[in-house]
Amino acid sequence: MTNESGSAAFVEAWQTLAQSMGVRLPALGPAREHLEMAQKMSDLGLEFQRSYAEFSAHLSGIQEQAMRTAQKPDIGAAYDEWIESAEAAYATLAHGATFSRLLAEMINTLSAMKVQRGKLLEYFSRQLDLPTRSEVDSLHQQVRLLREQLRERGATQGGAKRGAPRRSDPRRSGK
Amino acid sequence: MTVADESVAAMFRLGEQFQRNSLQALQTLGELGDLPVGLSEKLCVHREDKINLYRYVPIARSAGLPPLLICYAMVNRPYVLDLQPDRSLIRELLSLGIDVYLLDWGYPDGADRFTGLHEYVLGYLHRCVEQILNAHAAESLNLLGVCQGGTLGLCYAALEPRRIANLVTMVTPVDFKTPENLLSKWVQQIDIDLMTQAGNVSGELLNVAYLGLMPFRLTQQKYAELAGMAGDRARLENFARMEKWIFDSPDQPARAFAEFVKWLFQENRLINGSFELGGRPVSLKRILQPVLNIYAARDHLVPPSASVALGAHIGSTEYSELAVDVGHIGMYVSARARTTVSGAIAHWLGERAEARGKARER
Repeated sequence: MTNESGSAAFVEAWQTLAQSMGVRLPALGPAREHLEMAQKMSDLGLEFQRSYAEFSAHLSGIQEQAMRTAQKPDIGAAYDEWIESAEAAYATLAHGATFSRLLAEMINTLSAMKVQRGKLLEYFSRQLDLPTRSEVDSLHQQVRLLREQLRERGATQGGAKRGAPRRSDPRRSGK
Repeated sequence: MTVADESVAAMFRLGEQFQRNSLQALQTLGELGDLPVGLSEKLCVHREDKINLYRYVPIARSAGLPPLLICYAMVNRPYVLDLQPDRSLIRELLSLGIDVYLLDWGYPDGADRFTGLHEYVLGYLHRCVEQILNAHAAESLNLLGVCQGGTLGLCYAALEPRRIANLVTMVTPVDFKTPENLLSKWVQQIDIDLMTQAGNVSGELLNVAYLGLMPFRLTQQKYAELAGMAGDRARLENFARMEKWIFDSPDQPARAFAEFVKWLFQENRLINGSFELGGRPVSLKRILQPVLNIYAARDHLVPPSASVALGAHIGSTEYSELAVDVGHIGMYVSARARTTVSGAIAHWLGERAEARGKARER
């Protein structure tokens, strides 16, 4: 048994033991940073599944309620009536506080997952020497700042004078 | 055969007919390809980053009114106002001799992520207004703000009142917390900073939210109705154009979106008087010019209560309302709404120009 596989087996044994005791092991060692990110991502995935299930359960009675109110004998009319009833049942729920709370929980978890995914991508992009989102953002901010400065300079030099359009028509000028 | 058997057989026949018609309609839809939209002739007179300012080529004798700038929403594409020649609010306005400009916000991308609401209103919109005023050597123009574009237009009119002669708002939210406003209820507990921390907000997400307002009608009944359009190519073309427009939703620039949702939907700042853009207070009381507020009586996106609140909060004494008995999208494309709205706008602007002329003579 090599040292590496020995330590992996040791960690696995610890994890199994910790799981059986309901203890969650923190990410440790040189890979701590990205393991922690992955762990958080996995937690958020579970949290999203839970919130999605709760939200779906909250909506589950609508179709049944709509079926109970559908009365018309003609198929087309009955379908339209069913749609109306379903919308009415849905609207009652959708305007309620519980619906808004569950929806917000679900969207907030999804947002947290996207942020976490961004952090993971950022980490791996750095390892591969690829441009990262934060570097691109930083460049955008610099360009914006430069443009603002340029515009301010143009304004103070009279570039914003009335009667002098700032740009020519790109189509007419063939730009 | 018993009565019950006959009923079952009739149901099956109807089912088969429905299936045949649906397939025929779907086949025609598949053959239509990408239908052209926004057909009225126009010239791009100003371009900056993603935005384009268009001027439409006149099709009738000028009514002699100041130019009309249409400021559309950022959350959808403005070609719904010029969907096809016989369904075009812009064309109706042109036929009444109005000089029409359109501000198209384009498709924001990652480069626009940090662009704030003040830059859209006091930057892009302001420069478009300046461009038009320079071209016409005019002091002020007429502004037509549509949906979210109406809210942006109100902000601009409050900040730069001298540049706006008359303001028309159409299906524009002003009070974002009225009891009928479902979207508003949904966003109150959403962590907008967290949502936008991950970047721009995708158009797809917004579409899901819109569909969620009436999910059974918008995701089932609408498509079931296709069977009734089988063999009617013109109706299917209309359907295809609307379908294209509805799902052609640009991503929203993170910062501007966060500010719009937080300051307006969550904090209702336009109404409670605490709204600021670029460090300047946006007070609706500063809107003293004539205002025509057009709203849809059956609007599920911007409830009438959200629009009519404007009258109680602006400083103008010349405030008129026009309720049109349609839904939000019907306001842009229904034949009744188009003629009513374009006629009302042209008539109202004409009256204001006349009144202004008389006031000058005095």
